[in-house]
Amino acid sequence: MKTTSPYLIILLLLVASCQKVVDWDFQTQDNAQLVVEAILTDELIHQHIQLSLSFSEWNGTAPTVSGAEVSVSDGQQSFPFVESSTEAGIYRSEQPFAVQQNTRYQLSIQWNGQTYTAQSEAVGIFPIPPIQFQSVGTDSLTIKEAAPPYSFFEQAMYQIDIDWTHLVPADASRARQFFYTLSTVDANELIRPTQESVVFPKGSILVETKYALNPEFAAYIRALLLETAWQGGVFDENSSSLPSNILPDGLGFFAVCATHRDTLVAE
Amino acid sequence: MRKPFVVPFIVGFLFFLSGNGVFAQNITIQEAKISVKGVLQEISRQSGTNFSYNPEAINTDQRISFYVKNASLKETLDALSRQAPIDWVLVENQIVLTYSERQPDPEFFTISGFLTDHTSGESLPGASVFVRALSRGTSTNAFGFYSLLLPKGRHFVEYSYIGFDSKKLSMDLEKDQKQNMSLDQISLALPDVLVKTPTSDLLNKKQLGAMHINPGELRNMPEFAGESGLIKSLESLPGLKLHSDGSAFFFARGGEKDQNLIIIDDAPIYNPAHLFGFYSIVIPEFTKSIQVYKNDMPVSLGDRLSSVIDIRTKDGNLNHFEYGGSFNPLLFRLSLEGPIEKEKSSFFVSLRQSNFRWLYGTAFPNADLYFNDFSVKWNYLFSDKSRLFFTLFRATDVLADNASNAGINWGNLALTLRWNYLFNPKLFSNTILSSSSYLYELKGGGNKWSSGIANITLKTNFTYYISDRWTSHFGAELHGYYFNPGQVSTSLPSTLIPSAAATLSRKSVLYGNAHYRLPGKWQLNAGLRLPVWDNLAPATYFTFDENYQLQDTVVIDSGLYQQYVNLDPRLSLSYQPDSTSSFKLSYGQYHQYMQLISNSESPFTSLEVWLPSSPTIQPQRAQQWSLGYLKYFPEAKVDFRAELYYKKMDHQIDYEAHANTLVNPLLEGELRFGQTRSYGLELFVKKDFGKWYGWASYTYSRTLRQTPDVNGGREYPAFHDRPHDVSVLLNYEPHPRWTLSAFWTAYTGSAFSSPTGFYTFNGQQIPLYGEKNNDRLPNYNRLDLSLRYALNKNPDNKYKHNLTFSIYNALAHENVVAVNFNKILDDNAQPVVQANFIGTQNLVTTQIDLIRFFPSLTYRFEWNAKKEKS
Repeated sequence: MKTTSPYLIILLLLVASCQKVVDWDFQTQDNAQLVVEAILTDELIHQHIQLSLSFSEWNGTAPTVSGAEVSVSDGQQSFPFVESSTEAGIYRSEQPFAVQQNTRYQLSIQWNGQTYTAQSEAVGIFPIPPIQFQSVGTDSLTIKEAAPPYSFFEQAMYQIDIDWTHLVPADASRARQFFYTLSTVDANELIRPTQESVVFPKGSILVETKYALNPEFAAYIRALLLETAWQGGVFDENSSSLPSNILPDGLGFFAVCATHRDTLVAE
Repeated sequence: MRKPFVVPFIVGFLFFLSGNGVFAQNITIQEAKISVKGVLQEISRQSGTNFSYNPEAINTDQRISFYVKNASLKETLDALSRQAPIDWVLVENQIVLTYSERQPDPEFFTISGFLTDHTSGESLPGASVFVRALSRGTSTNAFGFYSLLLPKGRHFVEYSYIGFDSKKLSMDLEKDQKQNMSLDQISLALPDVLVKTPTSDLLNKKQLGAMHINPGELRNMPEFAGESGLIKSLESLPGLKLHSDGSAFFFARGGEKDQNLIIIDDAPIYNPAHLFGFYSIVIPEFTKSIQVYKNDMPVSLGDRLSSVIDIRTKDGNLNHFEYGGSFNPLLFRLSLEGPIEKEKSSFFVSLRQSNFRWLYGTAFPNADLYFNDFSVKWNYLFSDKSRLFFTLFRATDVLADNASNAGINWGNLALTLRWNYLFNPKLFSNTILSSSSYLYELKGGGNKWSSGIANITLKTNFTYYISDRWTSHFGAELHGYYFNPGQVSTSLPSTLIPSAAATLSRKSVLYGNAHYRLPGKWQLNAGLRLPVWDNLAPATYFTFDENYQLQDTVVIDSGLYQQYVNLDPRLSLSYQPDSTSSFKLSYGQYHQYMQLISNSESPFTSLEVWLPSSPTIQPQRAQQWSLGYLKYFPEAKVDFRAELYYKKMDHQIDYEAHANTLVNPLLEGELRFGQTRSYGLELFVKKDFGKWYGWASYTYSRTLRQTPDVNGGREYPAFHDRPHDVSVLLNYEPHPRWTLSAFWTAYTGSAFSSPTGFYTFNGQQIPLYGEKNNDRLPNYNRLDLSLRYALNKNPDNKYKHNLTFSIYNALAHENVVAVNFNKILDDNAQPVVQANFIGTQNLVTTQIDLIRFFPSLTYRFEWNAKKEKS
């Protein structure tokens, strides 16, 4: 399934032409919940998990969580994580390890007198499809398509880190984009709102990491997209909080994923 | 006091006599004017019976109308007793007549016929037929037929219809009489909705619970982009709420958007919108009458929970040719009507086509964006008793990129073949064979997703005017349905996309209704509708456990695998204290067997999936109680309505958070089922006459939903819960050539969910939500203006044309349809969705409104061979 085509731009223009920024009086609630951001991979590395709290301030900063006891178990072996002394809220495994497919991993977090748990299992991964670029002027590029939006056979997340600091030394000479392949089709995926244009010069270095998503993590990612990248178009879904596998009342997601990584120079 | 045993004794005695005595005679008397004495002589002659009576006590010179045919003596004497103050008793084979103090029952006859427009021959539905002296009247049915039972004698019958000159007819009613009547339209110099001074019988034409929209009233309303339409006009009525600008969705008394049945000549229309909702597919020029029911729906119409919009189309001029049309920069429309065989057969044909290319052609040369609709009506009058109608309606929308062969298209098709037959002056039948379909297609990248719904219906409906007090409607329906909830086909190799299987269903309905005028000022209306819904094999369906996880896959090869039988009673009691006011208390139960599956609150018609009731989806049910009051003020020429209602709906469809409703065979597992309750007070005041005319409405209402697995099972306001809703339409006619119209509407903003907290994941700020629909969009407020100028100095010209200048949302109020919390500002300060997740970029809140200020200029013309006056 293709996503937004030029014909739909007409409609989007119609809608977007009457779009404006406003101040909104949020009805916020101060009940901070634990947020877990954990994507462990099959790379033999010091895996890391980020813990934070939810917050009530629009564009606020997520409070980090320290003092938590974090561990991951595959049922036979436990992998303790320790809090980073340099990066607040980051917990790294004491030893490097790689997640295995067909193995169920369990996350355990002890924090503030409460035990949080989550489970996840990695699924197989297909090769990374080639990235299609689109020229912008004579010297610049943008990513036209990095992955098929739909596949019956696999669900995946593609993280592409783009670096052209060697061409234009500046902090702004880096970008990170995400692309997704899902086994679901949504109306507001097909007809998306206008997206920020990420343009980089030819010769930029791209590091692409593909994460294979199991069905639960894919459902989380789909919900995240419905609330973020696909929201604000023509066919918005009713809004709801994202699902989470962090029990009993945590937020975020604990996922274990098979990955592929590729590096290329954009030409 | 009469002894109980006397009655059976007499009956037995009479039975004995009837077998071998004087009562077995066959007596025939057919006299329009005959004295009582003459009747007695004739009876004696034919039966050999002798009469004994006191000539001073019985007035045998009284003249009566007397009709009996092959009647027994008893039947003949009973008939005589009903018409003259005479009692009779059998004594030794002799009839003894005595004076009766009771008043003889008046003899009644039926006057019946069709009301038509004198110029065009169009039937006039909802016209009034009234006898002022008796305060007795009726309205024509949807096909212009009326039947009125009146006592024998001389009567002045008044025929009236809005926009037409009334006519009075004096008649001596001596027997059943057929009386067709044609009315002349009032002077063309007057606006469409004006009529001459209204009479108090106006009340007879107004029903509480139902609203009649005159197409002429639609034409006078300020327009969006030069087009007036049905859906936009509904927002001016109390209890009906449009989704927002650019939407064809509407909500009736708290019901959902799929709970409204729109029928064109009895064929349902599943999507009444063009261009995602900016235009109505039903144009006033094609419509003859529009009846809107929000409660107390007729048993012959259903099965939707919340409203029925019954649209009757024009038949076509039986006498003369007419054409008309309109042009504006975005649209053109043409229509032609006329006789095929004068006063026997006529046709109406109309075509409308959009013209948007000049808006986008340069920027998007490969794009196609257009819509069109095409309507045909044909009818043939076989005799005064028999008439055949055919209606075809087709509407198409296309939004495509020809370069990539990608795009969206959708279309409605409705066909109706209808036969009206008048068995006798008291029995009218309407038999319909109709078919409708709605298809939606999305294609791109070698794939095509299509969904659709189609039905074929055979229906016959009878109206039986039993007596002056009783009128009955009854009939039967048989419907076949085809549902395609989403099939995907692909030309790409190694692509596999799951499809939701198409299904077949059948609905059989029996219904009956009786309207009874009780003694005094009360009227009772009672009806029953018995729908039987069957799902037919071959089919595959899924069952789910209490956690909505797939439990079983059931494959049915043949037969019927699911049946729902329901009995829907309708009951109303009216009280009419005088000729200008009435009260009505009503109760109705309704079931609905098909639903539009969409977890979107978008104003636009998106990728649509219709599903039938199934083992998982129980039929939706609504019960509604309402109390209405209608008052007509003859002096002020104003009528006022107030209605109070309470409505409870069960098995209402809700959705799992982020439900996956497209291309999902397990779609039913994403659904949740709960209840909705709504209540409200609706006020409506209307002035049809004078230089200033128009109407105003105000509604206070609440709509609250409760679903066990949504919002923690707590009650929450529905999206369309808008407590306050007000609208005013004013027309001003300072001069016959100028019409100024203003329409203003305002209502509480819709309920939606706004974030109550946030967290970060993958470098993005993710919203957290608390109570569902905790927040509201800004209040809606819109003023539309239009100015129409007739270009003819002589309003009776054959060729009439005018220019209409309209401004939609003249105040340029930002009527918000959506608020989003996920965008950033790009380098051009335009809100866009974030794509680069390095660094910190503040999100902004954005709102979208659709139409702030939209002027249009439309040229309209019409030509009628007959209209010019010397």
